Amino acid sequence: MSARPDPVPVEMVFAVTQFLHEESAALDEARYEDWLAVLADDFQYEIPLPVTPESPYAEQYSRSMPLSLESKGSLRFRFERLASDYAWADRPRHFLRHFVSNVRVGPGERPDEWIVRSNVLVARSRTSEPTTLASAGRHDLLRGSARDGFVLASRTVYLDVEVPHASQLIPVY
Amino acid sequence: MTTRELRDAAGLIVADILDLFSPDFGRVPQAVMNHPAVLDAELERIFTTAWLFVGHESEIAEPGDYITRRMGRDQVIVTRDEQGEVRVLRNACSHRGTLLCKATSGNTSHFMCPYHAWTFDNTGRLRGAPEARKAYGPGFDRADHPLKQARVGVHQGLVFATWDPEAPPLAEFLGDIAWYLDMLLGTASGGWEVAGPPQRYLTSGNWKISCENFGGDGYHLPYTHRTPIEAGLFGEDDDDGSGGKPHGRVVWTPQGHTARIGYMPPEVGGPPYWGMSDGLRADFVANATPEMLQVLDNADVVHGNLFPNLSFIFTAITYTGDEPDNTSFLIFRMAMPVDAETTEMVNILLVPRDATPEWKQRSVLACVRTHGAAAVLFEGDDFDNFASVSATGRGVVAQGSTLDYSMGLGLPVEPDDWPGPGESAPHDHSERTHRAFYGAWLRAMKGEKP
Repeated sequence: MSARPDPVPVEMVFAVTQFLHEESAALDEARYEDWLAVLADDFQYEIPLPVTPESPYAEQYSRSMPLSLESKGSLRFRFERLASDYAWADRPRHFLRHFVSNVRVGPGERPDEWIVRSNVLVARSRTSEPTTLASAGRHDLLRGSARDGFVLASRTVYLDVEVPHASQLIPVY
Repeated sequence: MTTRELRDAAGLIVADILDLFSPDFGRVPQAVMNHPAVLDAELERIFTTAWLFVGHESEIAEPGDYITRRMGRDQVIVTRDEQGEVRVLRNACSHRGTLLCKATSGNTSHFMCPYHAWTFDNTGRLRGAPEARKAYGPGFDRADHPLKQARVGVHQGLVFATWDPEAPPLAEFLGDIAWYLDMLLGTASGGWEVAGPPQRYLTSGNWKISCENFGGDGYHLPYTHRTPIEAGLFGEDDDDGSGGKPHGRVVWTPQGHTARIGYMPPEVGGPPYWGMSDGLRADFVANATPEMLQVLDNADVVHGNLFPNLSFIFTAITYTGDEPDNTSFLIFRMAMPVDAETTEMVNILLVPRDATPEWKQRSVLACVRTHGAAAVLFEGDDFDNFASVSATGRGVVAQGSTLDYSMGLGLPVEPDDWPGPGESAPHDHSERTHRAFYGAWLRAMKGEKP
């Protein structure tokens, strides 16, 4: 039997959960500079493509042509355009709310890396549209420590729907 | 047909809506953008008679490979049978109509119905029906119960199907637009393949709005897409006067197929197949005709729509945040109606089979960030417009009103030495392609042959 890994200290789980809550609040409140500030420079964001294979044992997500592939640079580009009067899809602003739960923290490859899995429910509306909901699982890689804080190094979003509505693809999860 | 004769709140039936078109197609009734009875008529009169795109050959490369798709609202299995022939089978048991295949894709030689276990091979023949001899009697013949099968045609790896036994051959249906497909797809020695399973997503807005936009709407580019173009995402931003204005050409055919080729000024333009990896570009150029090279010289975008609902765009992205090099991508987009105001988009990205894995990945990135399902930065602004055209059409006043598609009606088109086939005009911003689309649309809706 291999040795059981040491459990992640409860303080670490608490600190990571706080980080996730604060980070998604920055998105909900349109504080994009605050959000970009917690991304590592090599941040990678991906929404793999949900697919329906025949076998219940087969992979439900394809990564060859994902729904979304972003970097810190491309997300900065997307948020900075909001300052323009011609950012039609972002003006007026959306109503957005993240609900983050089921946070699990495990050690990463390096001593300062943490693999964090969570579930997220995202509510979105705009003008008089009805609210659209989307749920997803997230696999994050965090770097840092409870004492010095964290940066988000990567995020993979597993949507719980094969054919999402485009409005469910607008939020950053 | 009873329901279609009923008058709606605006007092209209489909025939009245069709009468609102002006003879030159400069006026298009807004009701065609969201009226449920118009969609019912389209599904019956267009989607059962036209050749509809159902997939790319590389999605079903091996015998037994299949994908599930829709032709209008009819669900189909697109499969390669054990002899290598491509088949398009109605995805519904010939017994009681149960969905035979629920997966998006897979490989199988047979499809078994989950209801009573009728089993079909992938040529559509019924091979087994449990207890048939005892329960039906000796007269039961499996040969009388095949799956309904559509006619199949393939052009440059694009698989099309039609339910109409009277439809002209695919080559005749495509007409002169085939040359432009050959220009894009026929010059790679190794051919093209899908980058992966297609993105599928629902959008608000009638299916035609996306098609007419892709079909040749150069006019919206500097305005809808002002922010990404000003930021330098595409080459088209270079119109500060230093290099002359970008220009373009719109192309249309009597079948309603359309295209637009956008050009950059020669000072800043690129060679044919701009943004393709260097080794491959040499191969493409070697295989292209002189006319194709002339059409593509300095071109930064080729986009269009095959009537009714297969759009395409070939372009190169200069910047989306962090990659320095121009990278091209070629995406086909099927806009499949769900209801009169909801459209399922199917994005099929093709990459040259001989490209390096690294280049293919860059092409995926360029496509996903600008023309993918979640490309809020670029496509988000289009979808916002498409949804609102259908939404503002819900009013009673709206249903009796017409929209303005007159751009270019007053401009003469002099014959010139443009080397591409089809009818065309040297206009970058024009609604000639839109009018060609609605011309074919109205003929089909009235049951007239092109």
